[in-house]
Amino acid sequence: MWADVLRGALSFFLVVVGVGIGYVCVRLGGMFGRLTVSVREVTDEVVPILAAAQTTVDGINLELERVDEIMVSAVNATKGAEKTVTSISNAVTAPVKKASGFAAAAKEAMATFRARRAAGPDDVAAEPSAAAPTAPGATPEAAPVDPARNGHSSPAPDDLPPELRDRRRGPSISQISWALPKRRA
Amino acid sequence: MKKFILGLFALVAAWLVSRGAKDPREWPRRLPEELASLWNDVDDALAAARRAAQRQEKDFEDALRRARRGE
Repeated sequence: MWADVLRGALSFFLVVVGVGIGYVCVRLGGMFGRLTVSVREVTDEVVPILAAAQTTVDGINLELERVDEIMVSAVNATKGAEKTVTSISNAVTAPVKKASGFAAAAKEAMATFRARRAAGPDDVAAEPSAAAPTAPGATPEAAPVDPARNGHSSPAPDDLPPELRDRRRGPSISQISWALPKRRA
Repeated sequence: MKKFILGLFALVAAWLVSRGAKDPREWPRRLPEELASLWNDVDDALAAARRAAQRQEKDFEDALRRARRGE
């Protein structure tokens, strides 16, 4: 009795499972059919797109090559412009530098010369008139000047050592000004 | 020519007087001394000028170098 019941239940179960499996297979078949159609459509649509993309990429590569050539030309032009500017700068700055140096030299020469010449007569007047024979009636300003002292350096003090008394002269004003620190702007 | 020589003599005499040689009898002795002094001063002035020119050119080069570096 129970064995018949179990067999009937098992048969029912198997029938239900078979029906389910069949349903799933039918649905899968439909899905695979739609998938096949979709893949075919996608393939049919993507291939022309890929071809168009390939054409576009080729065009982009061509344009990039042109841009590369343009950049090379621009770099060469920049280098040429830099060389030109450097040449012009050197051509302009060299005379300007010489002119600046000449102006400074003229200024320094005039200042030094005027200082030396301005210091001359005073020191000449400060020379003792009795140090050398003078003509009668000569004024004290006409006292002889030691040419070695350049006419305007002070007489050698007696407290100097003998080897220094015979020194011709000390450093010039320009030498002193050269040694002093300069105020820079 | 005579005027030129006279003018030159007057210039030399005025220069010597300005340098303190007011007695004309001193002029033959003072003239070489003053000329030597003058040449010494000129030499010193030229040496100072050379140093000033070198210093100025060096400063100019430094300023130009700084300007090129964008300082």
